Amino acid sequence: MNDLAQLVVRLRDSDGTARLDAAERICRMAEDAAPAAVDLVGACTDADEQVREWVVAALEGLGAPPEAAIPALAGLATSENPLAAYWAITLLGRAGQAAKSAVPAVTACLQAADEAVRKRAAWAIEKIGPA
Amino acid sequence: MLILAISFRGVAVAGPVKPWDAVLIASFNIQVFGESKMAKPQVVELLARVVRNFDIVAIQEVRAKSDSIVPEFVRRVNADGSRYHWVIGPRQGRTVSKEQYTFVYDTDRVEVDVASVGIVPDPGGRLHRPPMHARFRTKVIPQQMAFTFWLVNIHTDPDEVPQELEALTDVFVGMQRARPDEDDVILLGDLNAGPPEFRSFQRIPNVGWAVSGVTTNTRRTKTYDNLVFTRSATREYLGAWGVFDLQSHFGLPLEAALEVSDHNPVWAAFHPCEVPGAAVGPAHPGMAGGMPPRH
Repeated sequence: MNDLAQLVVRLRDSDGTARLDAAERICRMAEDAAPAAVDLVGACTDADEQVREWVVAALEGLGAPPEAAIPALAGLATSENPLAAYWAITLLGRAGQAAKSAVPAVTACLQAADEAVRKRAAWAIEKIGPA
Repeated sequence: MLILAISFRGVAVAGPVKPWDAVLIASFNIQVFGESKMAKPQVVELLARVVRNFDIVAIQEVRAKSDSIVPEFVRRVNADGSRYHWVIGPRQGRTVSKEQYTFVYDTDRVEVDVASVGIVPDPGGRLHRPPMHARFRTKVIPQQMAFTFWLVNIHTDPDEVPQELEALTDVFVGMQRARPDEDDVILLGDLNAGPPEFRSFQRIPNVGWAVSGVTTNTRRTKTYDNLVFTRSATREYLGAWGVFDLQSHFGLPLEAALEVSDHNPVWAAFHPCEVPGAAVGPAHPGMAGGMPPRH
């Protein structure tokens, strides 16, 4: 396993300290953490607030996700967790036209209960363009 | 800048010796400034050493549920006998992940009008984290001559930079009109954009910015942080600015510098006396001639 793969495993550790350390280290990888995009969105549901903050910081800095991550991110876009949904949608928007297959999922988010999710969905649809 | 350079060669006392003829204003995005960062004493010590170089530091990215982060940090800054204090804004952000702005300032050198501290109204929701404003006055010269100015602290959303810069242009103009007795507005922070992307700022007559032609992030790949003001009003600007490069300044490898933050502080020097607004300076907005950081 490479460094990122090992960190992703630790991001799911039962020990909060290990998860926090993993999130910080992934965050410091910036764009190199893009292959972990799906795992990071999943970690938005972490119970520890500081883990979540580092995960969000990592998501802010990783740029566009790899195309292979688009289907999983489309699935996460409708997550019941608003933070996870918000970041899945954000990454899809960053992917631009490469995320065309996710337009139905993102469009469904225009009806989300969470205002931030709805606004991000509108932003992402503009970024992705017509399906 | 010769006078300033000479002024900096002070005898080491508690913290760096600051020049009597300049007020040094910095912006520093301290990435995820919360409990986990405060739990690393070596990182906190470096952050404190950074702050002691400046009269005011506009900090972005306080991210914590606890309200004790900034007070505890300022206590560490003051551990050497310095007398810094802070003002802090509310938690802001569209998701459950919130950030706060804070100004940490040297009470021996500047004072804040506490009634002036607040968040810029953003009724249209154009900004993810509407900026925090506060009005300061220098204390190193008689009050009637002192330089007074608005600071407007901002961290833009990296995914909506053009829209937010457009909104910030309106914010800047609004701050210029906020008080008839105040013409100096300095917008500073992590703009997630460099001068080539500052097109909307051109709507502000005589606009300029301190940082140009250099990178401001710790990886030395992007110009994200800056101080924006108008050359016609803020004639107190001394043309001296810089990027406090964490790696070179503290002799850190990249990975260690990134533990401090993914941004370097940026700063600019201003005359401590109020200079009435009048003639406009050179066309180039970003002025060269940085002074080396000291500690």
